[in-house]
Amino acid sequence: MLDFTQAIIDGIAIGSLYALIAIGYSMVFGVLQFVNFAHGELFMLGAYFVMLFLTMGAPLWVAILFSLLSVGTIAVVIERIAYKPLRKHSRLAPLITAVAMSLFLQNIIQVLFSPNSLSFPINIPGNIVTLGELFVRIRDIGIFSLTLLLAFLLELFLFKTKAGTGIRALAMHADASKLCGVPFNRTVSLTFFIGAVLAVIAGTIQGMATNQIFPLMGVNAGLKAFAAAVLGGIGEIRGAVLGGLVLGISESMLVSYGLSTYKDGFAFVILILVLLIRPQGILGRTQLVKV
Amino acid sequence: MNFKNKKIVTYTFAALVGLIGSLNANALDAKVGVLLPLTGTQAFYGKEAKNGIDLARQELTDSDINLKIFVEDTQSTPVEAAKGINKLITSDRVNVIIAEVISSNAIAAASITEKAKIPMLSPAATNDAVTLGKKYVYRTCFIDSFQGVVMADFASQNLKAKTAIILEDSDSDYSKGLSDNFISTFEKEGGKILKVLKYSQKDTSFTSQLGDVRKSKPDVLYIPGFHQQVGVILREAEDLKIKSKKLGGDGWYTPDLRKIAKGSEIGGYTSTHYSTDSDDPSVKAFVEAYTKKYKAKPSAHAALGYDSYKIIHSIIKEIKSSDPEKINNALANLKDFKGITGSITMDKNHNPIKPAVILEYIPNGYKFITSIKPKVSSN
Repeated sequence: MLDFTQAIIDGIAIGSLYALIAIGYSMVFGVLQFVNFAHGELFMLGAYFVMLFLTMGAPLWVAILFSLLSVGTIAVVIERIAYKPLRKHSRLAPLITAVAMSLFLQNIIQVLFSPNSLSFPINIPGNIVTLGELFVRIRDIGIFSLTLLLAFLLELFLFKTKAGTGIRALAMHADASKLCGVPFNRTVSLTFFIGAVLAVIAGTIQGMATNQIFPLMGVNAGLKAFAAAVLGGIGEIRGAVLGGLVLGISESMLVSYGLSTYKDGFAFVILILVLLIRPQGILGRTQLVKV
Repeated sequence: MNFKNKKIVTYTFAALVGLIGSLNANALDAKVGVLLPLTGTQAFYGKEAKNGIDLARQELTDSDINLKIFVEDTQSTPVEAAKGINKLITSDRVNVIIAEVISSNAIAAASITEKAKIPMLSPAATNDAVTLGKKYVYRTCFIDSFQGVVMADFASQNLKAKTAIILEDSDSDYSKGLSDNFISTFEKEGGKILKVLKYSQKDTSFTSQLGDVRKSKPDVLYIPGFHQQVGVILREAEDLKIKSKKLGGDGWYTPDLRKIAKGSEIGGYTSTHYSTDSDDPSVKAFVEAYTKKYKAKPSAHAALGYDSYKIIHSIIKEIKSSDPEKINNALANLKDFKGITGSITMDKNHNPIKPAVILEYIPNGYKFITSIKPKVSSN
């Protein structure tokens, strides 16, 4: 029981990072029914931009703010040049450009910053507090709380503001929302921007926690987060958070029961099982398609 | 100058060179190929080895042998390594080759020299497969599996450790080689392996594994991995207040480890090829000469390059021949060669039987702890 509880505590931090990235996948899917496979690279770009601004001498909060704005803008630009022109074509076409965009971003960073890992200038210490036999990092509590806070603020935004309502309307029915006056392109851009912001925050946290960043850091994180989004129910914010946490904790349990070699495959086993048994995910709703 | 004139000049020059050469009738000519990654991702290691070779050439000024070197760049890739070694053999017609410091490139080059029957000596390719089953391929460094044996010896004899946990990189054959040999040696010496935990190179947090270590409190924690993960592991181990001594292999021995570990590496031990802080007078002289020439401390690769060239030089001087077959024979029978990286004797698998050095991490440097010799040959 002790091991079990400890595994839950250990998995929360990584699960929170999966959750933050998964929200972006989920929102974009909700709006466009399209999986943005370049989303993991926004997580990586976020960390690189923060490092770049830090080495230029900016204080941390300025570096994060600038990185949020830059990567958010990049996400919007990517959508405009790589996905928007293909919107009227088959749904496979933007999926392929998304993969291409992901490879392009990985490689451009390798060219600019070298393929090796770089050490991150600022890091969060990982001090622990003990509760009897159990221990927990103070940092992990912070990461978990921040994730919940951001998810809460996002829900607030989606339900209480006009722009947020626009996103929800678009997700419900694109054509009907256009008829009701929701600006389609602007709303799609806003969705990409929000997703990028959360990915940048996750990337920065990982950079500060592990003290290193590398051009391919978004690949693994992106794939895991995608699995988490599907698990929770793609298109649902709460589902993405729940999926991320469940995945992070499950991985940590596998490691603590001596099955660490199977850890990386586990996310995809979940992905396959969910798609076979409950394609709408844990919190997803089945929608009636009226013909 | 037209083409014809150019040819005449070239011939005249060649004749003159021949004439000068024949004046010193006793001098023995031999061509040594040098194949190293001088550009590309591993250029740092290649350049260090080249510096070592150049320093050795500068020091060895014998009148009775005349070694000429031909340098090729592998651009850090196996494909270019294969091209370079072909050029050295077919166009430069070298008698012996000092080739590659990276295992995968050395393996690519080795299959070609083996067919051409030209002996090849690798300064620093540590993968066990490089020389395996090859008649013409040798190395100056010890092999991966030896490091595991050395660390287990050190843990049980010097640190008096009774219990150990191993944290193995499941994505790397190098890590598995070191880990397996550590386990068998440590158990043979009466120690107990409490657990073998695994991690992946994709992992970003190792808390779940380290939680186990924290609970079991082993005397030593052996982490035969690479600096990207080891750096984070060491930092997290410090966070979790794990008091076990941390041990590692030469995957630790890079300045990048310290950048990631940020001080948590202090007190850890690593096994490597040589130490600049050794009290051996020949090492001291080498470090001094190298530092004077290149304004930087020599790395292990520089020392291995230096030793490799000296081995080739001493063999050609001793057998008084540049015949590749005879050089090959002499390399196979190399015994007690006194190098900077220890006394070198080739075993029957063409791997040197030589000591490894144990270093301790101290603030801003390394402390030389001991040098451990292999007890018996590995075969």
